[in-house]
Amino acid sequence: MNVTPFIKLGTLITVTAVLGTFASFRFKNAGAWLPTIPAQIGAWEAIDYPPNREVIRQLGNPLAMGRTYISPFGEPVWVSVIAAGAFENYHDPTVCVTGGGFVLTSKKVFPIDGSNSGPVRAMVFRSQQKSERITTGDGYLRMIMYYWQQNRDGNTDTEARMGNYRDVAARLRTGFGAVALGKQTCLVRVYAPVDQDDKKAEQTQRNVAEISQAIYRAMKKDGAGL
Amino acid sequence: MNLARSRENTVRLFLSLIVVTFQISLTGCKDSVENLATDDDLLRLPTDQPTMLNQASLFPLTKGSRWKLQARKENEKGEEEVLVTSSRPVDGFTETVVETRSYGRAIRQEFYRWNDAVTQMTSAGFADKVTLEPPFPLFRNPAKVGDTLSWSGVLRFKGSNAPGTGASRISGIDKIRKFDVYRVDTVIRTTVNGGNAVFRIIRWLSPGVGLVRQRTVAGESVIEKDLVEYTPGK
Repeated sequence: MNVTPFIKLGTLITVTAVLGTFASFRFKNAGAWLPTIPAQIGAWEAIDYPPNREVIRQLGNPLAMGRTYISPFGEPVWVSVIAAGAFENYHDPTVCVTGGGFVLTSKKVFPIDGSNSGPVRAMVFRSQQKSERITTGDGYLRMIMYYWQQNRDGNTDTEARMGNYRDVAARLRTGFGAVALGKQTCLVRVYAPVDQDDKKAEQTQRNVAEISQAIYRAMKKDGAGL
Repeated sequence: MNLARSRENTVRLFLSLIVVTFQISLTGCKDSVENLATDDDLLRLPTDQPTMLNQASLFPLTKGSRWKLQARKENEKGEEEVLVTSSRPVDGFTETVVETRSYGRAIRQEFYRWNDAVTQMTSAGFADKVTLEPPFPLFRNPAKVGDTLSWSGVLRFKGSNAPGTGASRISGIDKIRKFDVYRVDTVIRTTVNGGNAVFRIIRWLSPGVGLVRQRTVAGESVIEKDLVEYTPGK
């Protein structure tokens, strides 16, 4: 059989189209998992606090949910879970939050739930302007945030997946995981303002850590179909 | 010869373009967010151990203990004296009456019971007292940051009962003037005339000294008290 350049080109276009359709389908599937998270965590009570519509639109309208957990002492911790399919769903908090008038003043990565668990990225954001609400210390508002991406199999990752060259390896991993392995992933942000009486942010971090661990466990359980 | 040189130049140009493009991508796409690292001491690793102060009594409720305080409510200021007026052993606890006086006049009494393991509050008020059943646990000994005690019970007041819940927690360590202090958050929730009521007290307690600062929040009312002078009891 004589394979003409036209047939070669046609085959290439067909294979590319099929792969593209398959990849699109797999990315859509990657963002189809939105786990159930608990309505109550220990003595914490939750109220639904859906993510801002405009933010969700900018992220490409992924499945998303948000809750505010309130401790018995009246302290709030906010949680947002965003199902991550296409890359436009991935938006790193260091970019979003700093765009909202904050600067990043600390970043550490450690296990989220004991030494055998996956990593979480802990961050402190400080307001660029002094706040009238903060009457002690240096007058700046601070916020502690835990951020991670959790696969349905329970693995977590903390690397950014924005469009710059530094994130290329992480994006390749995500692409391979979503398309070849069929992984489903959610982005989780757990954050709380540092109360001005909590000068060393000890209680704020404990609160964020407690809620993060509970969310991580609930997602792991949901992912395993339990 | 010329053809070979021309090819060599083309290859050089091509390689140069690749190198330049790569360098542009490195310098042009640096992290858009800089980590200032100025708050690194605020983020503790899970392996960090909570700090403990010396283990002298967090609230020394021995008879005769006396705290002279400056009280503030909005723009009003006044002096108060908190005095342990009686102390007696009962069922493995020491029951203690703590009286607050304003310019020599008794305005409030609080009843505590305590032993080496725990300090609890049993009632508070003056002519009419609110009694907490079972006693409300404030903190355990030795004091440990993060330790939280929950309470569920009944508040008795003027012959009526109201269900209540609450919690008390050692939230952190701080320094107020020369004192190293534990911050103890306490909250009680109940119903008053069919509506929800929340009483919140934050105490900054220094081992061996007790009350260094106290903030009481009930609705919109906030009363703050700061230690002026402490005299230990005997």
